[in-house]
Amino acid sequence: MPPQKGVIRLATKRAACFLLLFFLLFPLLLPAGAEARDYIEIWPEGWSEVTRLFPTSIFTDRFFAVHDREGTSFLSADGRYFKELDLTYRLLRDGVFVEEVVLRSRAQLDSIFLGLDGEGGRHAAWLEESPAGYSIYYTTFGVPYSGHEQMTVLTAQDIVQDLAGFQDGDTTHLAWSQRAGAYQIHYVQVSGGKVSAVEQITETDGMSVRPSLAVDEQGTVHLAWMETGPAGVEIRYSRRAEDGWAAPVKVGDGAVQDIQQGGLIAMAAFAGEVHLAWAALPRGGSRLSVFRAVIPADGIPTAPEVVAPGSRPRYVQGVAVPELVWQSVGAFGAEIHFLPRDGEAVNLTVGRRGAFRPEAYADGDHRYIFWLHADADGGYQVFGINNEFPKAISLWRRMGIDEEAPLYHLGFLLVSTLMLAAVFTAANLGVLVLAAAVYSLIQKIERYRRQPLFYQVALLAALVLVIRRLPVPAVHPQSFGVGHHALCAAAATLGTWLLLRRVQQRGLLFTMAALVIWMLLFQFTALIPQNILV
Amino acid sequence: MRTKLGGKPGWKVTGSAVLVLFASLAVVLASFALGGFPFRSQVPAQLVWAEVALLALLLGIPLFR
Repeated sequence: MPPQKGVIRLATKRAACFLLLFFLLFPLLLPAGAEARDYIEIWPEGWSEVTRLFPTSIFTDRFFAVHDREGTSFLSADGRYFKELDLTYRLLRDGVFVEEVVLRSRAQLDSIFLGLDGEGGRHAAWLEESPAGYSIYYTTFGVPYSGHEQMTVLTAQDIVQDLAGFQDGDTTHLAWSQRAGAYQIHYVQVSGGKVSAVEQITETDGMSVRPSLAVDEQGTVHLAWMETGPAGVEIRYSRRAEDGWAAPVKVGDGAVQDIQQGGLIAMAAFAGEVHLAWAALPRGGSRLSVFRAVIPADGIPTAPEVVAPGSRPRYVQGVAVPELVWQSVGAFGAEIHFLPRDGEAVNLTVGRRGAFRPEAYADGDHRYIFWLHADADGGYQVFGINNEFPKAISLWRRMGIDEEAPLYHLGFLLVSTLMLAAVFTAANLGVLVLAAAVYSLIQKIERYRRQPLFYQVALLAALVLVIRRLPVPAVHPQSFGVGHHALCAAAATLGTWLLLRRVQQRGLLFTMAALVIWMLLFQFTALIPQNILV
Repeated sequence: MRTKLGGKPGWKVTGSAVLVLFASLAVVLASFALGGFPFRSQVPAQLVWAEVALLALLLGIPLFR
């Protein structure tokens, strides 16, 4: 038999083997009683189940989740109609809501604030709009709740928006944006039932909006806001000294898109430094990314750096060094990401539900993170996750296999990935032809032609790996890291060698057969995680 | 008809292909079990250079043997 004929038969055999496998496995799967999901949730390792907490709305820019020895306190604007929202305080203790109080009912709430004074006192402030104008109210109460009285901090006919607050001991620091010609930032302190330090921070022609506050250990008040003007949006910063507010400095660029989406500047003081995080468009980019900058004691901000694609960053409360959470765009909507002090960002949200508007606090070494999910029955729900009570993850789930029907899922995965791999291999025909041409040229040299089969297969693999990076029309699986990529290449090379190690013939058809087998195995292994997740 | 290919009966060829496929799946799933399920990521620029370096290394081996 001529050598090339043998190679043709070899290639036909290999193709027939894969087809046979497909037709054998598929009927076997049909009578399986269990039904596996067509995707599997890959749980963030070391984190708890996601717990549904309470229904709320998205009419205010954020909800509050703060923690002290009494438990976790929430403040949210709940309701379905934006003019009839209930400002609701809840206290969660040992997994049970022990208090639920509507502090203000059926009001048009713009923004809210909840702070804890460390002595068990709760301090709430809110901005509401009514036919009479705009009003900022403040109230304080204890645990257990025994009633509250609201105090008016401000009433105005001008438009007031973006109330922000910070609780420092028994002093509540508040800032907001108020229209007086242009929008300007205003500031007050509320302490012992008295309003003091009523100050206007900005006096610009542009719009000064979205203030954020932080107070450091020395009691210095730090303020950041977004300044919009003809040139775009700037993140500006000032601090309150003995002789008044320092001249504002630019920290970085913001984004109109972020303002439109209700974005805020996250701000926190750590060891004499003030850390800022906000969302803006990276240079040349069209998707919001989280930026951060540090303002040291000298007041000169560092250059902003990109943390990751995303928006709505929040600093984790109660930590000694900065840790961030933010929302990012994922395959099924927004995802919540957490960046610990030393480590890589973790995606905390699984499944096909968009999660957004994260809030986070630390309790010792444990982190509690909350976010919103849209509710199937309408409205929104607050959900929470923590790393204090990690969810037990079975070996099946760790591998991405449905633990309720592992064999069914494995069979489905094998067949569907094999079919997808065949499609991806066909879509790489250009790469294979080019690799075959280059390999054939190399084989013209006697020194290369004399090498053993494993070397030949490895050389083909390396050629394909490089050529698929060139602008040759092809389809590639999603990337799942360098480790997975290397493993796929190694498994495909070894598998191709194992299948062809007894074949004596060499030539162009052998080369093409080896390339097709290698590519099929490579695509098969590379597509497994992608196929599990989709 | 039982065809022999490279001195191997047809059923052995089929068995080898099935084994290789199962082994590939097992290796990938074992890597997930050991190292955790991987997250989607961008292809690092250094990876391209590592692949070029591998090709250069393979092309260089016969020259020094």
